[in-house]
Amino acid sequence: MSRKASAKPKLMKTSANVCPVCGFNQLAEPPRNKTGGASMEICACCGFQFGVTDDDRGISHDEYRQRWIADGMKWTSTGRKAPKGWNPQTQLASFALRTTLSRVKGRPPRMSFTPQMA
Amino acid sequence: MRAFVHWTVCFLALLNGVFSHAVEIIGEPHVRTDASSATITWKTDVECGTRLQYGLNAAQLSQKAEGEVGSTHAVTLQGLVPGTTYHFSVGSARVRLATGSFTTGGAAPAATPGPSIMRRVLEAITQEKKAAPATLTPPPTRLTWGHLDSLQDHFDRHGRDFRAKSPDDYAAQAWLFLQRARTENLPMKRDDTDGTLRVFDPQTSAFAAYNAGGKTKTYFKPESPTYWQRQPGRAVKAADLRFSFR
Repeated sequence: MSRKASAKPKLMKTSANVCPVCGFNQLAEPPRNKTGGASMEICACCGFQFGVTDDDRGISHDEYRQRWIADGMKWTSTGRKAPKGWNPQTQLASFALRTTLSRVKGRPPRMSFTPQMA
Repeated sequence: MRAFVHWTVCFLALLNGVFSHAVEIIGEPHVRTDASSATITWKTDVECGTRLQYGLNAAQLSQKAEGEVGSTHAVTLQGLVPGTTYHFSVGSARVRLATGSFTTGGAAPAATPGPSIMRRVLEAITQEKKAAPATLTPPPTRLTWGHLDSLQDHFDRHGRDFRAKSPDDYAAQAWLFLQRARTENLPMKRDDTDGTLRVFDPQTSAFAAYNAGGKTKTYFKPESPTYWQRQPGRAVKAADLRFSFR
């Protein structure tokens, strides 16, 4: 039997249920649906409530993130425990990297180094 | 064999005769009212169940009260609004025998003629989906709240808006708010993208969101006066809602 080669390259799957404030990737549902409707969910990690903290209290993601970081990046949920080995710094750094990479359109530019002869 | 068939047919005919007897009301329902309560009594020719449906709109008798089986029926409605006209229908669980209306707070306690035949037919068609128990008992929280592991957080944040004593109390109030919204036709918006239903009470400023299955997503009182106007979705009415539980 010949093994069929897949035509499309495999892409890394990223979950849509990621908090845009702190990067927590275990939300029950996406923070906003396709038409912009908020999920009303409270992020168990940072405590941002989509559709309330922003739409009612008028606090932006960036502003809330700054406050959360200034408060020590604590786990906010009292009904749900933090995942085992949860590290807010790692989570935030990973989220920042993913966000940055997602803004790069197309293939990243190739970096080349050509030594110059003296 | 022939005798067996004969006796079977006779037996079935007898059963049909016993059970097909239609219940009929004797006279008209009698209504006795005061400022905040009303007692409706009526009689039937045979014993049957007691069911009364009532509401502010003759086409939408959304409240229901039931009583014991018998031929003399009486239902007392408490907590009515003084000086308000209520419409009602009486009968059993299977049949509606008569309709009428009464006004609380000193108005003449006589039953008035019911609506037209066309209105009655429409009521009969829509009766099932509009009926709601008079005394509502919320189902268990696991049946009314969407994501149970988030309930504590919602209670911590919004429970004081409604003086909720516990997460279960908060969830029960959110469920009752939906029932009241359906009964009183509070403003509702349905987001067709994911089926989210948003409900708002302009009087109390209470807001709630429910998922496509009718389970609560959140329940709170917004601070922004334009919050409801900015919510997405198309306006829907209570009659358009179809949830798996009441």
